[in-house]
Amino acid sequence: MELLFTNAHFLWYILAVVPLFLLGVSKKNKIKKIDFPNSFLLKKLRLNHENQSNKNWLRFLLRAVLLVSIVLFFSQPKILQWKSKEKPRHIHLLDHTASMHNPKTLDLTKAHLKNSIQSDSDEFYLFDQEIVKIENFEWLLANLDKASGIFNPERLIHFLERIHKSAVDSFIDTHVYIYSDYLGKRWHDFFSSKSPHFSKIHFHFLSSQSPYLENLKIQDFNYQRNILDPKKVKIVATIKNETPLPQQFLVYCHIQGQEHQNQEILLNAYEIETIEFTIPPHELDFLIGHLFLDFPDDFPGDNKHHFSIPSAPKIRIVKTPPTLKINDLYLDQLLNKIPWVQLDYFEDLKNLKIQSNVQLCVLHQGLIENEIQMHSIQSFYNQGNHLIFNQNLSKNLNSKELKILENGSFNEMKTLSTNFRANRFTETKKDHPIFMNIPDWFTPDYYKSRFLKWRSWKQIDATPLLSFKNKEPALSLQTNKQDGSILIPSFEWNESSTDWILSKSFKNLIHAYLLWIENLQSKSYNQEIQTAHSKEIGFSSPGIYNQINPIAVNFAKEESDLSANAYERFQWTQANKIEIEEEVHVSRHFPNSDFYQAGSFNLGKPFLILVSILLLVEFLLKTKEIKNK
Amino acid sequence: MLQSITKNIYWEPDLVNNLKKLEWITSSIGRGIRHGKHPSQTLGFRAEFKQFSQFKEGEDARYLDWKIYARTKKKFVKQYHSESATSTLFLIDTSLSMDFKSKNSLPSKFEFSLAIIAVLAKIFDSQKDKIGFSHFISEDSTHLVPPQQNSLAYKNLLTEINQMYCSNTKTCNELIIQSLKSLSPRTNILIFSDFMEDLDHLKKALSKLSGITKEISLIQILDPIESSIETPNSSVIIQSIEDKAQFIFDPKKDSKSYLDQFHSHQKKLLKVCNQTGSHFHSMQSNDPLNNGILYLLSNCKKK
Repeated sequence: MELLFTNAHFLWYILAVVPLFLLGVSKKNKIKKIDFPNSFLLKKLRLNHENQSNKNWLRFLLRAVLLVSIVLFFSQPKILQWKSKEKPRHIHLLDHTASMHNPKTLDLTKAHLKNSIQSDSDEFYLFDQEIVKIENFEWLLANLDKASGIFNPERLIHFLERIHKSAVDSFIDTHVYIYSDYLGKRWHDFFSSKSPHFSKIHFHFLSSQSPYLENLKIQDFNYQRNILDPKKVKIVATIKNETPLPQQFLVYCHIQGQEHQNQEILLNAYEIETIEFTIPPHELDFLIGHLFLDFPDDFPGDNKHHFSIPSAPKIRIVKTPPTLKINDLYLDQLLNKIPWVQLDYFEDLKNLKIQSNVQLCVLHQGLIENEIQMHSIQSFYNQGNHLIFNQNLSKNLNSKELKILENGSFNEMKTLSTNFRANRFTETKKDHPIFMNIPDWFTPDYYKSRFLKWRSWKQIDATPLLSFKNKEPALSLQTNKQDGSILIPSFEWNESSTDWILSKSFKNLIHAYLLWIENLQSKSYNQEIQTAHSKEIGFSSPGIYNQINPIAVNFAKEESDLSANAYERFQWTQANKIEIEEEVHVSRHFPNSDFYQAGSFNLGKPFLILVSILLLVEFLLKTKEIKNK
Repeated sequence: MLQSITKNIYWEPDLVNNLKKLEWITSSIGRGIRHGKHPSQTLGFRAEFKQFSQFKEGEDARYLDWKIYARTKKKFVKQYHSESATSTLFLIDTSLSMDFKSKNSLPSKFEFSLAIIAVLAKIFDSQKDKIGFSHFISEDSTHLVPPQQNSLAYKNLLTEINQMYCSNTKTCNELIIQSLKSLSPRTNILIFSDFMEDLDHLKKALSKLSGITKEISLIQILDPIESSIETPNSSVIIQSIEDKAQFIFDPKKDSKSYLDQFHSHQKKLLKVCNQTGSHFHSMQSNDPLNNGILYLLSNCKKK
């Protein structure tokens, strides 16, 4: 049995009893005691002091208990794992909706069930629109693959609340396991409902990839701007199939959930198909690409499969004011236009890893304007994210400099920053001072020469992002997760270039940059990039670019809700802090108690009752005292 | 032995020497066969003059008052009280409250009582009176030594009271009720107590007692603190040694009330005594023993 306090900090108020106690003791010691033959006359005096001293102590005790009870009431103690005589109840809720209808999911479900079943008395329910109790476990296994319904979140919520109430009333530990792929917008409704019980449920995540689709990989699925026609974005999909698919299937793209942009094509096995469609430039801001593979009805597993564009850049392009340096105001404006990351720029860099898995931030010394920024950068760096300063220093930082980067003071950071600058001067032989705030030397020729000389690819503000030595990337970037973001803060922006998105340079920049990321991730240097973009000079457009490799999800026929995409699911789980198990082997031990703590007994109410009783007693005593007076 | 009883009590050395001269005379009429110092129920021709009565034929002519005859030619006979020995029973309050002394230099109320009893017993013994005593030896039993007169009676009494101690919470009226059964009529009853108890009950007990004997004396022994309640200026906790009850006593507020209560109690006690025909004597344990004895004897003679 474990006692927990919801508001443990309230317990400090119990110390208030101590001065009361000391006061009581000092008062008691102060009074002298004398003997007297008998109490006959004293009683007649009606002093009402009979055993007053003891009464005073009792009164003090009562008040102390009252105070402690009030404190305990506010601290909301709870007894966890109240030992119930009854056996714990295990309730398994199995998703029986259409999305579960495929062999892989079935296998996963069985594996999870096998690991989670606790005893013969476990209860099994299938839920889709209705929740049906299944008494026969064999029948349940035999009928799992007949899933066909539609998920009804309200019904499930209601059911869970009923279970919770029953668990609390009966004092029986109730463990709830939900087996589902958690796909579809309705699950979003489920998770976003404010039922407090959801955190106590153990969720089993069942990935429902078709066994065929496991071998079907979107090797190269990217999109490119059509340089000749800026209003068109070319989507290129290269589907690699390691095992021949039994049948042909349909591929179509869906951009940003807009139906008119769908294109359906027939794709044969081993075939590489290029899909091209038009996107108005402004929609680039909200581009989320999905590739759907629509299989024939008799295809085993899901007959529709969905991939988000693996390297689909979720691009946020933000116009920045024509200042040479970024100031805080500008940052605010900049970041206000990034609805889905909501950064406070440097301030929030430290949170980036959690919020959007940003793993790389390209900075340079010019941005370190104040201590807040510096701390943010340090925090970001210390979280294991990557910082790129420039092509040389990022590789050559010695241990001392790294230390400064980790926890150096502002002045040290400034010095380091100055050193960067000095180094850069060295690189540029001091005849071309590279300051983003000194744009006089901003000439295409300079960049061209620089690139050719240093074989470096340069960012618009003239800060070299990468340098290459011996054809190896100077900075190797370890990407632990597939999904990540890359921020490229930039200073320069030419206000007159409002159509810079469409500019050849910018488009190529994006493209090159994304390829660069890809190369970083694959740790291989693409010579083509170097050559292809050696002419890309003189960019004058800033931007923040984010790259996401989304999670692959499948869509069932009845649940093909396009808004319920992987990214949303990712966001829900992040927002709701729900740990979804993706492993097949489920541990039998749940240390975090993701199930109902039926015995979890809130002592708040008993203490409230105690407080009421004590207050009543105190009131009665006081009344009696007043009457006697 | 007397000295061991009267330790802590101030008494003048000539008290013992004067004891022989002191006498306790009861107001009731004794019936004893033996001669004593108390007026006998029968009239006689010794001792104190009582009245004249007309000479009747057959009476002894020796008792004729010839002086009156010479003056008036009438024959009168002088009649006197016949002196007889009487019985005295000491009822001793051995409740815990009697074992109290407010200062170490003072005797406790109980010690003071015993000292007086010892002195009075000596007087009674010298008057050839029977002496006995009764007291509670525990919460539910009394020890009664009936009045007797022999050479050892006084010694026995001294030995007994030397071994007495206060151990119970019994009141005086309970002691009276307990002693009623074994009382013979016209026994001289001397009750030693502080009489801090319910006076209605005491009155009932005394009424019953007065049905048996008219010679009842209540000798109240108080500690000085009981009549003056002198405490420090600040509040004190007063603990009764009898029942361990505790009171917070604020002298500024409660002293006057206590004294009022005390005087009222004393008045009522006196009234009870008057109503039951008992004699009341009040003393304090810090009084010199001589004074106490003399006070008692003088009060006794006044009757």
